[in-house]
Amino acid sequence: MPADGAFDGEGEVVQALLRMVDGLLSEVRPLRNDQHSNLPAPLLSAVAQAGLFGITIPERYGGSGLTLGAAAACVRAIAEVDRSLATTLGLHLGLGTRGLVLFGAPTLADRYLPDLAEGRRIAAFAATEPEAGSDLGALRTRAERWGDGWCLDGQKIYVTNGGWAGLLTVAAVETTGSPPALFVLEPSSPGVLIGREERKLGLRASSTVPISLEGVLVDSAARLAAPVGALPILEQVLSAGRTLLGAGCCGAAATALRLARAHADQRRQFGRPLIGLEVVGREIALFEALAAAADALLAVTCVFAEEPPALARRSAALKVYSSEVAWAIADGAIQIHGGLGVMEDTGLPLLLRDLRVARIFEGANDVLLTRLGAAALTSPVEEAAPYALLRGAVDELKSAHGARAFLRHGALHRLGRLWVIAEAGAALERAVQEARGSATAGHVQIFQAWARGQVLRTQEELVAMEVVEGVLGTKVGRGVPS
Amino acid sequence: MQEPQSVQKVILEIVAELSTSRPQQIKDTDRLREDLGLDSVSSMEMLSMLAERLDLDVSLEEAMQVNTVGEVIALSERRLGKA
Ligand SMILES: Cc1cc2nc3c(=O)[nH]c(=O)nc-3n(C[C@H](O)[C@H](O)[C@H](O)COP(=O)(O)OP(=O)(O)OC[C@H]3O[C@@H](n4cnc5c(N)ncnc54)[C@H](O)[C@@H]3O)c2cc1C
Repeated sequence: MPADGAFDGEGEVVQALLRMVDGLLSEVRPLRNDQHSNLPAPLLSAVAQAGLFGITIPERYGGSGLTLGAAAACVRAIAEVDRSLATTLGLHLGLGTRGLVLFGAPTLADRYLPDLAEGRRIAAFAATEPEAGSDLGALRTRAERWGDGWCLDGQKIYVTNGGWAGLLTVAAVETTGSPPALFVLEPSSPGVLIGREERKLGLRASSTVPISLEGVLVDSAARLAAPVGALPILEQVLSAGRTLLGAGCCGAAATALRLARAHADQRRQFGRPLIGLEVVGREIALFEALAAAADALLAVTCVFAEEPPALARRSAALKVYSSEVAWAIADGAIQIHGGLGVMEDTGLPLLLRDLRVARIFEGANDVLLTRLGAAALTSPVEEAAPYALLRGAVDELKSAHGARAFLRHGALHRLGRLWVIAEAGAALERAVQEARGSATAGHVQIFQAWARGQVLRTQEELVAMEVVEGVLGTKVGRGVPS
Repeated sequence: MQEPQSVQKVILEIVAELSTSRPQQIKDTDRLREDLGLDSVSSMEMLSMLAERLDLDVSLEEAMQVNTVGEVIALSERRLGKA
């Protein structure tokens, strides 16, 4: 990540951290970890010894007390090499500990944060259930009053870090339909059953397990609470998680781009290097612009780390944009490698497999896009030039459907996409103006040309949608996902 | 055309669907955001569902000015020519 960007005042510390990460990564063997579906214990110990599990934990608990931007820089660097390790660390720093750091009662923080900072405990976060994935309003895990504390019952699935976790943050509801609350508990508590490791397409060396909770008793301090009037706690925790997931995607995109570029420079066909073929040269130039915009958006997102509503919006846009761009570049890198691209030793198949889930977890991209599209209808759209097309599309939708526009989920989804592109474009322009990172004026021009193409495609999709609606009968949705 | 009684019923049902309150707990003076916990997107969505179910023409700007359950009812009745 543009190490000079998001964390003014932390620049040197972050540079030192990144040098340490670099040293550590020279020992990492991602293909072997993938084959063994495990991260070796000495590697996790080395990460702990380097203090990486404590980057964002306040200094008084033994952490480094750095910002989300610093954590993002580390996760990004690690994801360049091993996405499973990046996911393990990112989950710990984001979803796993953010709630406790921001809203934990002092007794709870004293009890757990020192161990979490030192990596003696790794944190996991359990919201998803068999019947509640994208729709977290449907959570069934119940927290019932039990003496002074709470009793938790329910089933959780797909818990990252669950197999080696030393602390769980669990989402549960107190009465049917009430907003989820977060509870912190130890996996060794009576009634917590950790299931078998899942076998996955990618991120195989990370841990993903189901967890069931049967009459798990926790004391009253275990419930994390955001102050009245603040953005809901779940939303705040997810914002941090999405920022770090976005950072990981930026790192993965950088690796795919580096491999594509190196191969295109070196491989010769038709009497010249592949990069000299117009189609390949253009593709790589586009990938460079898209990746520069992802890094710029990551930097902008981290600037809003302490402003929950702004972070919620930016982190959702970052998560969607970076996961899509990383996927496109990894796929493109394989294409540019030709047959060699599907050979495991290049690391590209692993990269692609690892990246697939990024468009699904921590809020499926379609869900986030619909949500962003709905937000675009109610929020003032910014003045900067990249937002012009979004403003136009918002006005069109409003005048065609008035308040009923909120029921046109297909259109909201496309509006969300325009918003994401606008956010990335604005971030890229800002990075160039402020001479931050490696973004150039050329990247801006290429990005703008690409964005125009995307907008035309979106407009055509909207027309096509009308046709489909004509065939299926007008479909209006309800329940814009939260 | 809907009777005012049923308009109110539809409104309370929709509000209850989107918030965590039961229809009988909802009062006219309840504020959509502060009292019923609807965020700006879900309070707008509520008005769109209302417009759809009662076949009302409500502009987004009008909808955004509504703050309480009573104002939702008044706006709907105005649009239905009841007030
Ligand atoms: C490897 C892995 C690790 C994970 N780690 C964690 C973790 O640590 N903690 C945790 O709590 N969860 C975790 N998850 C769960 C993850 O966040 C969910 O899988 C994700 O939120 C989607 O939920 P779902 O799988 O139930 O899909 P569903 O909700 O069933 O959705 C399926 C698809 O339907 C579409 N869709 C659904 N709703 C909408 C909508 N409103 N608009 C448009 N399209 C829609 C989307 O394309 C979506 O991908 C993990 C998942 C995986 C695979």
